[in-house]
Amino acid sequence: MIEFLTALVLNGANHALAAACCGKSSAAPFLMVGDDQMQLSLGLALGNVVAHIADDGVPNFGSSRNSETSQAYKLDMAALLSDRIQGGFSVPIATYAVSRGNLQEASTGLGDVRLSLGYEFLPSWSYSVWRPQGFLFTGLTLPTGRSYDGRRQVMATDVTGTGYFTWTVGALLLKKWTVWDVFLVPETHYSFSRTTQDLGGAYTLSPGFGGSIGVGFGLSPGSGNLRFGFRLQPKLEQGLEVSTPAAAGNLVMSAGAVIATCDTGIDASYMMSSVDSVSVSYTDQTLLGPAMNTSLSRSLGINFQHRWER
Amino acid sequence: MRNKLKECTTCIIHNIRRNRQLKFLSDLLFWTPWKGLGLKTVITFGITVAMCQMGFCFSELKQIEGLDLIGGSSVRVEFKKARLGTVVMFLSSRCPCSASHQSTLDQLSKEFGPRGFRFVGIHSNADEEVEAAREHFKKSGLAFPVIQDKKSGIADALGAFKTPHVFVLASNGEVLFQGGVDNSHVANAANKHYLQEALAMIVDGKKPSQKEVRVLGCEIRR
Repeated sequence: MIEFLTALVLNGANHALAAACCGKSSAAPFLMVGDDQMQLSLGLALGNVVAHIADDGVPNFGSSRNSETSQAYKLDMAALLSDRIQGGFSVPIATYAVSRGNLQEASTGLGDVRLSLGYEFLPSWSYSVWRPQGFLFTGLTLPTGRSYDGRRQVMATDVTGTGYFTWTVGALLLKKWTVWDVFLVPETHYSFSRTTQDLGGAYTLSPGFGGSIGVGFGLSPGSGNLRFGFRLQPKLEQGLEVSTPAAAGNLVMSAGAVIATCDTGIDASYMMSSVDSVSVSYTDQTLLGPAMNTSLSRSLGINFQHRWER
Repeated sequence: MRNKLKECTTCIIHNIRRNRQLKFLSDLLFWTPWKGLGLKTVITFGITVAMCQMGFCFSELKQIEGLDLIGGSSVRVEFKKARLGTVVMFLSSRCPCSASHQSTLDQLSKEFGPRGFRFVGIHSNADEEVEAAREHFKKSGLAFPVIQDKKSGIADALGAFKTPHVFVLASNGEVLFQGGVDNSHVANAANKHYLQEALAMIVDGKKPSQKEVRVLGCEIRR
């Protein structure tokens, strides 16, 4: 479920590079890739969990009487700190609803807030047929959402965050020609351990490393303000390790299996003006694998973006 | 194609001699044992094509010539004839950013032209009608010619990216400065005037402190 929510709030992102005058729109919303000084994005993603999959890789599509749906609103802001350095933050609010037979439950809450820094290490200051524009980014996700072990609802619909501090580093490479564009976004992250306790005593949760590689391309017919895009994003997460706290010897009680998913997405973006754009995206985790030890969802997202030019 | 490769090779060798990292690569490539295998020729050819495509090596222009959209006649601008340098400005007839900076460029041409600079505009956008561009630039009342760039050849030679994109070239074709006119899409909102500062430094006998700056505007359609 956490993976689903994380995917929902992050994969409302699509990539809009419509070829309008004086600017580009990027819906890697925490990162400005155009010549702007500030950028504000508001996104809504509607998701539906369609299957759960164990570490054997076999999906269980469940009963039609059961449903898990969500709505996630996200505010992203990015601003220039200098000519090539930018900072930003992302605030998600999620509503999660579960229905099992005659039982229904729904909750809304703040998700995990993310702070980010970006650096344009490959600026596009002259024309090149092949040289891409490149950014390095790093981010810190704060555990401001309610974690699974802090849940109060029976069906855990109030779980809106992971409960971990997560540090992310990655890069964005993109290249645009007259009508085509391509991008590559490799990233890796590390979630720091934390200690919690329940009636059974104290224990340490260690999620460890994870990563993904996003790749995609887009087409802007006639170099106009419309862009159609396609993206793939395979993801891998180290299994969650549960151990006794350090004071008790760090004994591993259980080591979870690797979590894997692959997002496939299509999107359409339109630049309404040189500073405003809207994009619609569809993301499906059931089309491509491998998928292990997670829930699989389909989501529809819409994103509005306004930019302030330099 | 052959002439283009010959130009690129000459330019690459010239740049290699001035760059230590490339000199190391050059020494490696021309290592004696490879000559006998004929690899030297193949590798040089491959790198020449690749580096020219990368935009690493621009042709060293000595002059620009073409049809002046404002005056209606053919114009030739030879860099060696400008005492302090030639300012080449890529402009558009449709881009608001370019239009916003036209008066600034006109003022700079009137201020620095008498001091030894030659100003010339270039119109390279392949998706803009020549007649519409001619009408636009005539109405603008610019004090310098605007040359129609056939098949974006001048833009490719210099690596022009957007409009407005300005280059200050020395009499030998060396690029002294290239990039945006200032740090804003809208001229009257700018607080850093890159081109003006570069020209002032050249007048003072110095090289511009910033040789390359970000260029803001609309991408040139090739």
